[in-house]
Amino acid sequence: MATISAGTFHVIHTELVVGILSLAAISLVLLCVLRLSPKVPFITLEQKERLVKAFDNTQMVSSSFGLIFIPIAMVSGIIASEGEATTNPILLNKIILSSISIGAWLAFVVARFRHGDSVWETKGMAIVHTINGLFAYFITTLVATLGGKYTRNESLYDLLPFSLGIYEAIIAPSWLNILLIFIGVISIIMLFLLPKLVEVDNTLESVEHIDSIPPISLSASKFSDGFEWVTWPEGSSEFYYRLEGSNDHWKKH
Amino acid sequence: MKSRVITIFMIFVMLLTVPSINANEDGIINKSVNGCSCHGGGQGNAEIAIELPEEYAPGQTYSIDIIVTSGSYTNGGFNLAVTDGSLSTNDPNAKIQSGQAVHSNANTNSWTLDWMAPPQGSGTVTFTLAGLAADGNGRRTNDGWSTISIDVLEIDAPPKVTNLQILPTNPTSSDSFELSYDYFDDRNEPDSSLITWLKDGEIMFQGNSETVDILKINYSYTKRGEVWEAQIIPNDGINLGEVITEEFIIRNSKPVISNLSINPSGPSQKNDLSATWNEYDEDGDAVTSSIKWYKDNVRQLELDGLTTISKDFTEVDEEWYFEITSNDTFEEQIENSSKVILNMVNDVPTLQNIRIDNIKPTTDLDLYANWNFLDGDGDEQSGFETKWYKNDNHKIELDNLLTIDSTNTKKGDIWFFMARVTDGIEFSEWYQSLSVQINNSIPEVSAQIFPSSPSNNTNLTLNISAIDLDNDILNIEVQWIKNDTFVVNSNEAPFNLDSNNTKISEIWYANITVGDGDVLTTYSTEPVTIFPDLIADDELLKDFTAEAYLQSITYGVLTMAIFMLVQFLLSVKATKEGQ
Repeated sequence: MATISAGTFHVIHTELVVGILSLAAISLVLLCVLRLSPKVPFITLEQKERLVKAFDNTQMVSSSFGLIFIPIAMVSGIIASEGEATTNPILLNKIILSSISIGAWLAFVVARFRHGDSVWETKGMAIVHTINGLFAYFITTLVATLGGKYTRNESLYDLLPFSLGIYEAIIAPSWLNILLIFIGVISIIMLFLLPKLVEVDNTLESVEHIDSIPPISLSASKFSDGFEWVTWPEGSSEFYYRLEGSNDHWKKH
Repeated sequence: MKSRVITIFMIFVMLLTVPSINANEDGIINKSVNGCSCHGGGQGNAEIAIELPEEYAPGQTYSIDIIVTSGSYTNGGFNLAVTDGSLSTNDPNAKIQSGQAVHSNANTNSWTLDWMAPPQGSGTVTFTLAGLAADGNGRRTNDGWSTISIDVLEIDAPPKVTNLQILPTNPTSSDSFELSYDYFDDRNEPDSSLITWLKDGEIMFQGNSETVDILKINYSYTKRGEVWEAQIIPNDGINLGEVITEEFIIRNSKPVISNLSINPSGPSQKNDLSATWNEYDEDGDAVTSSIKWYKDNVRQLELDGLTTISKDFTEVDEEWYFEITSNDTFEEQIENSSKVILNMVNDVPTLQNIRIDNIKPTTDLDLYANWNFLDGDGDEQSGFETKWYKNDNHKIELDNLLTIDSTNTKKGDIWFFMARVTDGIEFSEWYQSLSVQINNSIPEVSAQIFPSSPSNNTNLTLNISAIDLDNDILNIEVQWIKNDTFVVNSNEAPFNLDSNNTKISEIWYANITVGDGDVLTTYSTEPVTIFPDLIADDELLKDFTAEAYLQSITYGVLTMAIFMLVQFLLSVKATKEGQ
């Protein structure tokens, strides 16, 4: 039975990761533009909503699959290095950056699943979400190009006017790493728990609030004379409106 | 005609007392020179008058009057002889006898004769005349007589030109032609005739017979259809003769077929026969040609139009030639090539430029035998034999090889080879190449720096491989280059570089120069980059590996936590703003 080397396997998965996460990054940038633009020339609001939906789905699916392949690429790369993975500063940096990449992409995906469309609710959240994705993508490509630097001694990032410092790696003591991991894990757990605690404290107020005003992200059920219209609560006869394409808070009619 | 009256006075004493006599009743010939000596004592006692032209025209008849007087004598006689021409008379008192004129009676002392001049070219005619005046007494005394001789010149006639010809007759536009004629002058005076050439009525050339090349016209002056005329006015320097002309038309030049040849000129049964020729038309007409082949003088119809005859059509001992017919639409010209006979006589092949290809071979180069094969009957080389000689010793084991592998040679050897070739029928004689000497080989060197990814605590080891095929002693010198700048020079092994000389991120390589005493060769290693020394020993490597993986997990977790925290804070803020 024919077999392939770990190096070949690693290259395949590296290309797969870079390709699929490039798709995620492109979709993310376009989604950000659409979300932050009140009105996009040449397309209607309906078409815009469709595009938003498409790019949102694309970036989520792409980043999720990328997250699956990054660890595979890491493991195959370590095997292919034949022991140099932690002795060569370039390869060592490659491993560390891969972990950073995984962390950044995980944060990106989790934020989207946790907050849903709310990540685009405010401009600040939208920008941070986008920066999160693009940072993750930059780290991913940096990891990939370090492979080129190691095998061919050249990288696309050689064109940068400054050095990325990839020839040196600083390793912290184990106790420090363990401490930081502990802090990080606790922080993540807390971040999952905090919203539920906040939600309990504000249940009544939130319910009332939610009942009284439709959320900004709510899509219009009707367009008329340059305004968007919804009924809130759903099924009631209370109508809310806002300027078409404005993404403002709904006002009661 | 200007005439002259010659009068000779013969003064003598007329003896009136001497009785007169009559002349002989019938004239006597042959007395014109010596006179009438039988009439004693009277010599010189008569006056003779004869009227003759100063010059005569050939064939013309002249009337001649003769009068002989002496005192009052009225009788007499005469004898007139001429060296040429013919005399005649209608005078009843004169007669012609044996071509001479004499009196026929003695009753008068004057006579009239006719003389017809001789033909042209007769020259001067001499008239001799004896005249007698008689007293009529019947005796030979008291008579007076005299003689006279007169030369009459032939008139100077104009020269004549005859037999005028243009040679060649009916010249074509490719013929240079020449004027030919016969010149005659009665006094052999030199030819000064005026010669004029006219083309279509216009004078082209003019000169006298002494003008250089006036009689010849080069073909380059002529074209087809031109009307030329040669005109000659005979001239002897004094008289001009009758104008003679000859007119002719320049005719079409036939196509010229030249340089007909069959290649090869000495064919064998293995050769195709190729016909070559040149054709040209002086008139510039388009020429069409056709070719016919003849085998043993029999036309080969199936080969008409072919310029090359395959050897499949020929046999040994056959005689072949070809015929070219060229047509310029006016005329056609036919020319035959010389004949060739196919024979079995094989041209023995020869060799030229026999040589060893690499003129200055070295120990590491093979020797290649080469030559130019020549065969007179066009045969291909079908085989060869070679003998190789090293330092004049025949290397039998290398016989019949074209290439001598370099393993057989060493520096200083002198090599040559002998070769002969065959065309499949016969071998050539043996030929010898020039000798070549095996020259020094350039040392071969290669080197690598080990390790290929050194750290700042790693010594750089230089693994050098230097080979000299001549087994010369090699001198090795190493230059260590840092970031393209020369740093360390060493000519003693080992050529390693201590790690104290290196720093992180420096790029090092080595230039190795190897000399064998004759030549130097250099080699540059692949560069290596100095990396940080992360690991001191194997034990640290193990611990470090765990820390490395641990640190990578740390970075990943912290990255995720930071982004999640920021997102959370912003979502809380947005919720509060929404409320």
